[in-house]
Amino acid sequence: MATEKIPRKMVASRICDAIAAIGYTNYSAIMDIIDNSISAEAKNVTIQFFTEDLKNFSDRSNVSSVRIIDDGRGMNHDQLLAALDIGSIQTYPENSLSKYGFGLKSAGFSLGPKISLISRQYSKTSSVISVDKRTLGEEYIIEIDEKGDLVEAAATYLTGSSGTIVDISGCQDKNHDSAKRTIDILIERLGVTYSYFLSRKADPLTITIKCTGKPDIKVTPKDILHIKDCISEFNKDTYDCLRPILRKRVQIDVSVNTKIPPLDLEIVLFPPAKIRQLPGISPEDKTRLGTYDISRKNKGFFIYRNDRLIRWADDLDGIIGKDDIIIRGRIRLTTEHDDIMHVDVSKQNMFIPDDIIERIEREVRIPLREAEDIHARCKELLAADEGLPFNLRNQDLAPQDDEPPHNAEGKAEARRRRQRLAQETQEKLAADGEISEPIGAVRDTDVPLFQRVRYSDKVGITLWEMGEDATEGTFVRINTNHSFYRTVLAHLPEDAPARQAIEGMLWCSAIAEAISLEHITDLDQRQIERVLQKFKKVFSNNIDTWCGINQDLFGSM
Amino acid sequence: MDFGGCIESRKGIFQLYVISLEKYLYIGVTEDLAPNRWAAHFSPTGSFVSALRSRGVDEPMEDFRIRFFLYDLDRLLKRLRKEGQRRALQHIEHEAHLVFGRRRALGVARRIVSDTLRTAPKDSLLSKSDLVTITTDLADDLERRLCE
Repeated sequence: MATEKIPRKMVASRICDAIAAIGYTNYSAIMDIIDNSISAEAKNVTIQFFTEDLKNFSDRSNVSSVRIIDDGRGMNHDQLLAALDIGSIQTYPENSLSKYGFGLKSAGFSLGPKISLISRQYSKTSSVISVDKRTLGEEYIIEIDEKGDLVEAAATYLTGSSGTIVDISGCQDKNHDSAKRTIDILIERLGVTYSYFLSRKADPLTITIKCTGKPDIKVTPKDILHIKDCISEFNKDTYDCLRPILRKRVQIDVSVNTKIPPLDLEIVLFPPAKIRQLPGISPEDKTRLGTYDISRKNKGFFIYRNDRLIRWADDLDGIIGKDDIIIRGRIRLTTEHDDIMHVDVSKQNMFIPDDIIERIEREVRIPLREAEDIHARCKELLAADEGLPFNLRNQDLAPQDDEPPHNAEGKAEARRRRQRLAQETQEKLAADGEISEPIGAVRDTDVPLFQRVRYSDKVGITLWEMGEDATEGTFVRINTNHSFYRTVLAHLPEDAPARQAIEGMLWCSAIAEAISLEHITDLDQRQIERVLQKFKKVFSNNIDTWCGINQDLFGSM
Repeated sequence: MDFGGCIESRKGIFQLYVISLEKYLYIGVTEDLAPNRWAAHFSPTGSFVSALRSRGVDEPMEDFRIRFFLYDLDRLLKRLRKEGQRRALQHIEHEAHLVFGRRRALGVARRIVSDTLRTAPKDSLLSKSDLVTITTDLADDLERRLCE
């Protein structure tokens, strides 16, 4: 018996629901429509958000419609109709951003139920062609109109010989992110996603974001690897942690077919974000380091297809671990790689074969280990400067006592006790392997700087320890093993007012301790020591408990 | 009678070798007599045999055409300070894995089954440019010989 073939139903409304739900976010849907503009060789793209009158800029579901306006090739009547076909059959140019002919409908319906198009080609403006998912049944019906808002918009915006407006309306009926959130994400992502188009020398693309009642925003290109800032050599002993390091720029063949080009792979290591707290860092460096935006959301591989970003910070099957925050890679591929890399219909997802993952993992192996060296180097640089802002600012600070010893005998005893404290401090520092006379250089002068505040991991169990220098006076060593340091101080920049205030209090505590030990000459010094030590232990225990239940205040959880 | 090839190896010199079996490549380094090392690789628990087994190659090794390539790096490495020579050899071994892996004929048409997970150094006395030159030369030569 011959094979029987019978036609069956395809319910248009259900298909539209399905293609709207393939996982677009608002911003990714908008970018997919922008891809069509780029495929149409647009040089200028405008994204317009219209918000609901009674809702605030940051209210959820406040967008009523979104328009994407371009000055690309434009479409004639038949092309517009074809553009709204599901699975439109088109011939795409080489290395186009489009692939299956679903993008506009899929992205559009994910934003709102009605997609309308108007276009201009050879200086002739088309009718408005729309499809409203809410009115569809089994059949897929397109509406054609000669008037309406979109005709007026075309008269305003399609002023060149060609261009297209895509309008998605009815968005308010869908639960979606606020206009503010979508625009914030677009600002962050558009510059990276289209960086090659935005920064190309010939006819660079411009993208402008408009929103009711808000100033226009022009998107600027952003090289996520900051290649122009990169240095090429890394020395773990001399690295100043101020510039990213370009660790790799190689090509990897992925097919035996010589017509398929190699993948371009770049790997960059960044200075940890914390380095911005380094005292003495120039405002320019601080600002530049801020632009790197070193964080979890930006670690991993940025994968570009035909110069358009399709994967943001991909960990490539765990090659980049959750704590490998300072490593970023970029992989560039083209349409020729689609089959090998299994690029899917949304062009956002791909499946990289094991053998390619294995080779990329090898390429990343040493940079990952170098990242550990960079963290250690950063920690070393920051530790070297802990307390420096306080010490620089308070070079002339002198200890005070309202009740100093008056008679000669009392003064002599105070001197004797101070010498003893200095001697004991010297011995303790020597035993701890810490320099006995820590002297740094005051910036811009040759005057030695006495470090009133020091940080140490040899203090023991109390939060701080008083020390006496025979010539310079009292100093405090703050315990870096204590939970107050780890919970509070380590989270405050070295030059933060709050940190300097805490350092001031601890230094004053050490002063109070030293003066009590030296000036209360009618009590035995050892007994005073016992009292003060008990005081410090109780204080340190209680502040430790406080830290335990207040960790969240400083983001330590 | 066909000549099967001649291997010149010596104990105490720095050598890099490649074993080719079907579409698999194994890269290693040794300061021993190379055949000693190769014999170890082909023992039932040897690293080459284990790597192949883990990729589903279960046939007896005798059934395959196996080729051995040996490169003498001694002259290159002995120019360096003695204490850094072995590390430089490991550096070349790791970089060879990367450079071979990027190439169509070595990393795509064939699969590298050896690894440098435990031995790859972050750096060595070799300059970046020397490292690239050495490993590129190795890759060029191996590619040519494999295609003969």
